[in-house]
Amino acid sequence: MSEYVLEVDDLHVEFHTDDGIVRAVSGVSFGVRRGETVGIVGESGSGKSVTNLAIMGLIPQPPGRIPQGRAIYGGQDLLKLSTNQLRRIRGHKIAMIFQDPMTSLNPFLTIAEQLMEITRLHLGHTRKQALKHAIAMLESVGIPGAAQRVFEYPHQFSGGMRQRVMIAMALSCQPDVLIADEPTTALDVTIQAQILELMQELQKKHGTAIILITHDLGVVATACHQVCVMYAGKIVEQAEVHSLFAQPRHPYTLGLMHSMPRWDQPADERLNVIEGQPPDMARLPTGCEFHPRCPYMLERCPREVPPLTPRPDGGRFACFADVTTAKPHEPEVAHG
Amino acid sequence: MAEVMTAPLTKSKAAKSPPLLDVRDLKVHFPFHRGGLFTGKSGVVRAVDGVSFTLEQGKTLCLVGESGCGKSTTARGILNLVKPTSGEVYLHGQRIDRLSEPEMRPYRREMQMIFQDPFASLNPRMPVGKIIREPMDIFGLYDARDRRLEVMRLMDMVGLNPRFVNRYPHEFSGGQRQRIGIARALAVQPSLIVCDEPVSALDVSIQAQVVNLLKELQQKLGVAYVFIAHDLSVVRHMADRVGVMYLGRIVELAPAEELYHAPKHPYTKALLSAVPLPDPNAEVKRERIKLEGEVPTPDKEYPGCPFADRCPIVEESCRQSPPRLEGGAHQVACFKAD
Repeated sequence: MSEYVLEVDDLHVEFHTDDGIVRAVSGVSFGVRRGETVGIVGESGSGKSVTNLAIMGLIPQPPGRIPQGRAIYGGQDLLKLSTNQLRRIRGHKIAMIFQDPMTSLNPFLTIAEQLMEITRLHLGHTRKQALKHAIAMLESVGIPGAAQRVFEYPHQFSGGMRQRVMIAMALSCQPDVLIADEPTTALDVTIQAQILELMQELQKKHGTAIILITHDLGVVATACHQVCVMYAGKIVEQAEVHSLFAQPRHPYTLGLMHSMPRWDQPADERLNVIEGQPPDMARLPTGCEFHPRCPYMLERCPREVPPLTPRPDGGRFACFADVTTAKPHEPEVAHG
Repeated sequence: MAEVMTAPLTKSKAAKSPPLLDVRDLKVHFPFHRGGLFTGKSGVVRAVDGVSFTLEQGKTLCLVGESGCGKSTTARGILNLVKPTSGEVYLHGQRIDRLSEPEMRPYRREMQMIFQDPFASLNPRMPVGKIIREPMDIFGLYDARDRRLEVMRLMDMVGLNPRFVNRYPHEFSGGQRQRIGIARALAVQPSLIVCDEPVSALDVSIQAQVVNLLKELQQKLGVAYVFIAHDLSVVRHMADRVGVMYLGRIVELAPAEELYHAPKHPYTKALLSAVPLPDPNAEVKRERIKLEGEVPTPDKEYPGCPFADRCPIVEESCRQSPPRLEGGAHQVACFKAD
């Protein structure tokens, strides 16, 4: 029995497009333990959402294809299950919250109907049981007047309240794993703080394993135990959150940390930047995908792909250079 | 001795020339009617409810606040894109808020705008060169040959390769599109650019590039920005002064460094404490000021302080009359601010 509730092993996802084959995810491996939050950070197009859609069997095939990889949950490979078998797990044992709570709730159904559907399907509740459970769930996520509001429609809720409804829905069958894809990106900061705290509270209570997808290193520092940094479809660095922030080993992680403005530090004349543009996924650079933007590039980087090697304090990183001693230089491409 | 003599002289001279932008008690209200013709309920959404500030040449004023606080409507009110309900807007000392569209024309050249969404704000059927040239066509600047040269110069200035002049917006990434939007705004040499969340839609690494570009251009060209954002970290790097908005009003207005160092309004404090820091050690130690509830809707009139219902230090007196924005360089609208 593995220590992980959910373990992803060497996952590859590709899409066949007019532009050629896009390798959205290539060789991603990670695991999440009970009661632990794993953050997946990366910028748009880095493959962080696709990884998790693949786990849930939500990649449309075609144009998508999963040529390789496993996602082990409860001793079985999720990627090999039939749609029917997956349906029994999705929303029950593994649940998902999306960025936009408006588009992920059905505007024609009351909150009650949407919440009851899940427990009637997965837990075999009667209407009465399901309604009672729905109200209890709304209360647990801090919606005032839950017994009345449960009969309202999504548009009658504010953005923060809708995200609470989504969380209530995701947790109503007490899943083992919760996948949260940018759950607070569309929310204001004060509401974001409330939602992150709520997720942590519920995790402590039920021991839920959480995969938190985000682009915000601040959210990672607040809410995650383990972090995977993704670039161009690969995990380029993975570590425990404190050691990652104390000593990033990959130049991309380092660049991300430096380019993030902080309100608690005086403004410098210029922000540090990662030069260049995110890669075109249909035409990835050779060798290390980050080399055209990398200030630590070595001669071998455009030719060889750096393998994931262990960090001294646990975790892994994929870089030939040693950012702790090397001096940064101008990267190969300027912007434009 | 000579220094003493000239100092007050230059000062009085500076006092005479009006600020670039002067906004006084700006209000933008939207009437609404909900429900049936006779049975429904009518009212007014007070999107902007008494905003005042000035902005000097070559400086940046940032307006921050959560969604619905009226920051974007303030921007549109300044540009006369929505008609203000009341209040005054002066550009170079000339009152512009009551002008008709033809009367506004000469001022439009002075005031440009950059938008949040770099995908929606560029015409997908126009090549980049034409997008950047269009404002010059409209205002009849330069002859055809010089316009072409000017487009090249602008592209180079914002960090776009002038070779791409005939490409279309979809061929560029988000950050590059935002550069196109900036070049277009600069094409008529405005003295003021209103930037409405210009980096919110961009990835972190690209955000930093665009922030740096905007600052560089300001130093080079002396253009002033009204910069609208919800991200307090970005604002610290852009702003000379910051106005924090809540329910259509500025609740605190201060020089940037001071606002971040010594915030006075309880809302500003709560807002700052809610921004997660990219530092797990600091995150553990930090004290969060928790705000209960959500931003109230601006469709009612509040007799007292609009923040009273969520304020951690509220007193009964706060609910009776609204606090006014007061103070010298660091203004705050709170009865209990320390």
